[in-house]
Amino acid sequence: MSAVVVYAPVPAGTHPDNDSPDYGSTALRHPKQPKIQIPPSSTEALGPKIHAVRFDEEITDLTRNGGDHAIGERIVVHGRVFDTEGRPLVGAPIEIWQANAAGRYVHIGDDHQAPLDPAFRGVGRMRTDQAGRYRFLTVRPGAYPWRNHWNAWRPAHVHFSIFGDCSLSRLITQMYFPGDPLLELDPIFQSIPDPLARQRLISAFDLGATVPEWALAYRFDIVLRGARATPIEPGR
Amino acid sequence: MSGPTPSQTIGPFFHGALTPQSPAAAGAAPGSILIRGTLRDGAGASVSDAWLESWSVRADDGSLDTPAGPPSRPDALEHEDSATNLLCRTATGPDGCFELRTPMPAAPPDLDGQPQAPHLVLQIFARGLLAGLSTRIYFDGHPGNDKDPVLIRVPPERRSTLIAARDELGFQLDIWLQGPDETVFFDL
Ligand SMILES: [Fe+2]
Repeated sequence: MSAVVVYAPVPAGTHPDNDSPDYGSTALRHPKQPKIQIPPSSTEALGPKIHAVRFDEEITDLTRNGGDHAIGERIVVHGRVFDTEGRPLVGAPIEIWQANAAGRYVHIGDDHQAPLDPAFRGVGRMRTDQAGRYRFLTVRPGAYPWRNHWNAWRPAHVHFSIFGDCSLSRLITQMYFPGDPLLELDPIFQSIPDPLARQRLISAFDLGATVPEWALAYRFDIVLRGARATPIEPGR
Repeated sequence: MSGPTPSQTIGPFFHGALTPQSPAAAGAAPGSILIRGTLRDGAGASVSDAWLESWSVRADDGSLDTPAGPPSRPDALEHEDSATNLLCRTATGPDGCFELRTPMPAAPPDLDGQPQAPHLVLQIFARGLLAGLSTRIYFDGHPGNDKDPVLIRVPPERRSTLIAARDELGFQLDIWLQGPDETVFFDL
């Protein structure tokens, strides 16, 4: 039952180049030496497995983190996690974080002059179910200014951290909202070379998943790099 | 099936959201080692808003036998032993310092069956990094380092960026994102 595990390369243009001058913080942080190619059969392909990730309690309702109702437009953010072979990832840990409806994070480093909401921490975490599904109830995050260039504003976004089968499938990303005029102007979103790949970070309004008289819904499916197991032929 | 979801930066505000984790704290094994270092940028400034994740398999588990079947089947969760699957997750401190506490990692053969020297896989995420970086930490003085199939692909003058030195508390290795001592990062 010998087999080789093959991770197909990620298509060029999918991930941003760390050398992206329009995002100023990359200047001193992107490696300048070429990366060294190692076989995808290395230790990096063996783990971490999803069960290696531990967190205490799941938080799926961010609107009641502080006990009281958070201020803002309530939304459902949901979707499924697959690998590139089309298999749903079961039990995959997802962690999310976001600004509140006014565009402010609960973080000591956030000095944006927008109000904090004592009822909103902006942190969620859960594992995908048997079909690879996840679902959070939150509020729509506000856009916020940053100092990358004059009058720079981040489009509304939710940060996502997801584990797959191994370090090759590990992903940290951001989910955006359809129709946001700031996307055109955002050097972080625009750093993704392939425009079709870029579109995959924009969630879809999902009428079917709304909660009538309670919350609108956005769908964001996530695809992680997955392994193709190829049996080794006898006699090889 | 659509293509893989693109990466974006972790940004500076992840601290309350991501759960730090240490296999040593979880009691996975006695005799843990401490690896300390500072993460630096191309100007030598410490990087105080990074998130590091190291992974290895436990040293006393010589029988690493990787299941090659389709991953993430529901039953895979029960069959795999989390005590051998050693994940560290930690943020750098305000001074850019990090500490990884983990049982001494094993020297697993790679999937081609080649022996490797003991090492950790280390992934780095930070504000200013649009995609995570992947590197390794080896241990100074290990006789297997000279024959390790990954280390020998690294130009000799850059190998030291991957090898932690012994210090009074364990091991020490600074990581440079850029500059003359830039750490070796891998592409798989
Ligand atoms: Fe953000």
